[in-house]
Amino acid sequence: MNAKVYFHGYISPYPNLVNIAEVSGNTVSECLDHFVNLYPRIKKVLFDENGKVGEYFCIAVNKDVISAEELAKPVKDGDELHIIPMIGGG
Amino acid sequence: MLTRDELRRYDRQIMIRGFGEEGQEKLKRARVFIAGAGGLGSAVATYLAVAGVGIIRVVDHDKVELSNLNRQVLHWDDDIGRSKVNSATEKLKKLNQEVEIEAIDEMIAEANVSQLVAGFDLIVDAMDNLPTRYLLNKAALEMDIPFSHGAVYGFEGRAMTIIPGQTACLFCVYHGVTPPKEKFPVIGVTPAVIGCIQATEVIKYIVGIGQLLTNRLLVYDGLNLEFTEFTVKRDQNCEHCGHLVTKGKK
Repeated sequence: MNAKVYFHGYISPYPNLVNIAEVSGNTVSECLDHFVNLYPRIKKVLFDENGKVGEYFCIAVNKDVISAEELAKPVKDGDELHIIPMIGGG
Repeated sequence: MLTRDELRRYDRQIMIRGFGEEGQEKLKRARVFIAGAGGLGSAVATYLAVAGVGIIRVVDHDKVELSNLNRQVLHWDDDIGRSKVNSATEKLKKLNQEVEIEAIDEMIAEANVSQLVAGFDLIVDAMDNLPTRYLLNKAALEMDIPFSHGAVYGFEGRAMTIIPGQTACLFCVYHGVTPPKEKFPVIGVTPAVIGCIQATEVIKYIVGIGQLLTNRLLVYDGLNLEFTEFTVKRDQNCEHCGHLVTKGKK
């Protein structure tokens, strides 16, 4: 399945505020893995030492935020995945 | 009951459909707690004060520094070295002397948070760190006080409104904290945008009009000038709000 991934935010090691990529995968997790292969410097930021998505990120599929358990959820062609880091400034 | 001066001062907002004198009276009776007198706090407090919120409690333990002045518009050059809450109170009183400002020069911590927020109608998160945001989220849920979350970084912002027992809380969305940094980049317009969104939510909640930013996380990208909304749902296993009995949909 082909999906589009949007990585929002300052925490990206790349200069764009939003990094976008076309990826393929059967599940949300697989799409995220493909995404970090395309943006390897994001891998260290997005995943913790156990290889899990960091707790200060939320992941949305077609603008619906999903839980960590739902990362195994299948994706459909044309789905849009968003990676949104929390920010803390005030 | 509004005085003649109040009717004149607030005439333009009283004219708004669904607002009226009744809405203004609700604002006058309202008590709003603002955690932080920095960039977000300056914007929220300014617009709540001019809107006529009766009692505003501002809590912050910092002193004004030169590097604050690009965004914390309640603090001016002459205030450098002063306590932020005293500096903010002085300006807010000048903006609207009808409003009561309670300045509390304390650090919000687990030991005092419940006492600080007790009796308030709404808590505004205008903090500069994530751990205190979680603390406020938890206290708001435990004390059944609506909570307005806001955060900024550079040209980016986030906002969400939480109604305890009804809508997703901050911990339903995020759990951890970002890697600690001594200081974060920010330009004044970002907390102004997000702070005004938070003030809008406070006013709407108190007056009882409009649709709140509940079960929705608003992501603001100032560089591309985009607002994106993400739907969030209550996590029944949430450490902060999972135990609360669902009161109904909002």
